[in-house]
Amino acid sequence: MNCHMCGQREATTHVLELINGERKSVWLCNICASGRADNTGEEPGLPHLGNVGSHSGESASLASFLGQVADTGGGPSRVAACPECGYEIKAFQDTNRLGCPKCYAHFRTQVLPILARYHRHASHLGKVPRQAGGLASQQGEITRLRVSLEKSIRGEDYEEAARLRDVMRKLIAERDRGKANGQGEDGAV
Amino acid sequence: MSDFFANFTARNPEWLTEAGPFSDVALSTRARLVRNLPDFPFPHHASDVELETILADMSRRLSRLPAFSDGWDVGFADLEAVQRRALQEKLLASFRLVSRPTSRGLLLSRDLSRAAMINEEDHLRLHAFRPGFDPQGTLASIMALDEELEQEVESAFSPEWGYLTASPTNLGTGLRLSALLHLPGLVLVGEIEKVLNALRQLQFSVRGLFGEGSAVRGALFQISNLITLGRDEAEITDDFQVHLGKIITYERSARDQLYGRDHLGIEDMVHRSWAVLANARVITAQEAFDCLSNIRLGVSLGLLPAVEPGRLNQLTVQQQTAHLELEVGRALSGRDKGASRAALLREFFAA
Ligand SMILES: [Zn+2]
Ligand SMILES: [Zn+2]
Repeated sequence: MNCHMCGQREATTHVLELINGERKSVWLCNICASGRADNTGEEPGLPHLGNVGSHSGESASLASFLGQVADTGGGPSRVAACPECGYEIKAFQDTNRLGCPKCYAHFRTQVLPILARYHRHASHLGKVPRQAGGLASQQGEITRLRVSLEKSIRGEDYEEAARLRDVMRKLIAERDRGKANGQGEDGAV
Repeated sequence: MSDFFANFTARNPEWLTEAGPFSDVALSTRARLVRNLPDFPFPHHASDVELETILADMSRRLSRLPAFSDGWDVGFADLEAVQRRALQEKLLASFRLVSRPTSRGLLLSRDLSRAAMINEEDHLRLHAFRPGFDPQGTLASIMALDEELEQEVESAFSPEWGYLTASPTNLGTGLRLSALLHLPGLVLVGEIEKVLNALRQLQFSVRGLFGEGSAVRGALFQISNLITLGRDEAEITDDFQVHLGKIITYERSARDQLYGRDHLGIEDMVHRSWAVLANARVITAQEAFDCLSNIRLGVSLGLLPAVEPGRLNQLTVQQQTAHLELEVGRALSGRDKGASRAALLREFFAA
């Protein structure tokens, strides 16, 4: 069996964890079990997922992340495979990967909590490809505003926060009108 | 590609051999972007036919980009295994690409400062490299390459989640910056674990370039950002610049502290390492990494004014197994390997 954390090496260690009063069984390779970073690939791998919440005082182990995936939407068996590529959420738990770009929309409920936990954010800020343009850049602007809004609230600049909130509301209303007029969502998702 | 491998072992990328900002501590900086085609499964879930289609299509389009048009499509899948391993030793190809070469591709710019891996974890991984510690310059280089790519390839993108990637850990910008840092001062004063753990708390990945944990050899560490979503490219880069900049400052003061405390001990260590590399007849890669590290420390303290750090970087790469095997033209085992390595190092240090 392959390691549940990196999905690459042979699992050698069995870990039992208590999640929401339920015992979950997790198999890890010796590297992931010791909490060391993934050194087999060029990139740091998902093992870090397990560490993400730890310094915010919450016990975020890999098992709890798996538990979370399994509990959302009533368990993996009830989540249908991606209609585009046939990928099943069960495989996501084993490999930490999705099957195709369209899996993201299909497995949205399962993916969202992981994003929030790993990246501490759940929406994109940054470059928008030229082809996506239009609605996408509008969405980007809204996200940008929301980040500034959060910053000004943290900095207790409530006047600025109120101004940003109004701009944001206007943009969201514009975006929703655009959608209603049949511009539709961007096709890439 | 025969032309590319003709002079391969001596052909080292400038970003590894030239001096750059902070090159007393930083060897090089790399930026990576992940991009995928909207209508194909990710490589791990794609069929052989799909992988071949992606490879052929991507290779054709990428070779039209200005960055790669006068460079190399190395025909990765058809290379000999030792050539692929040597590309990994030069940090131009990843372990994942080398271990599963079928239907994988690698394009390199002429100066080896830009690279594109096809069908690695994602359909496309773009890399840009710069000498020393230069996050802003590296970001500019990779984003310019992405602009070129946009003319040829439409990437899978969601307004909400950004660029869509095989693993959610790369989602959003798909941007990962990495710096290769030499931290012997922090290792010797015993501060390294504390410093690296602080970086991990800040969501950076830290790993030894050679070896792991307490077994890291040559005091070479690769440090990368982990968060790719919810921060734009500029913020990721500024954050990287600030936190790694602090590590560089700590390393410099650790070196000063060490030398001030026991200059004789440091000089002895540096010159002993030189003596080993100048005289050994058989040497392991581990010992060579460690000796080269000590000598590099000596260079930064001004003890060896005639040695260029870039030359040490080059030797660090060239003393690895696949490079030695390519040089002698045959597979090397056990003692033969150690003897070839010792000969290569003597050539420089006993000269
Ligand atoms: Zn593992
Ligand atoms: Zn799918």
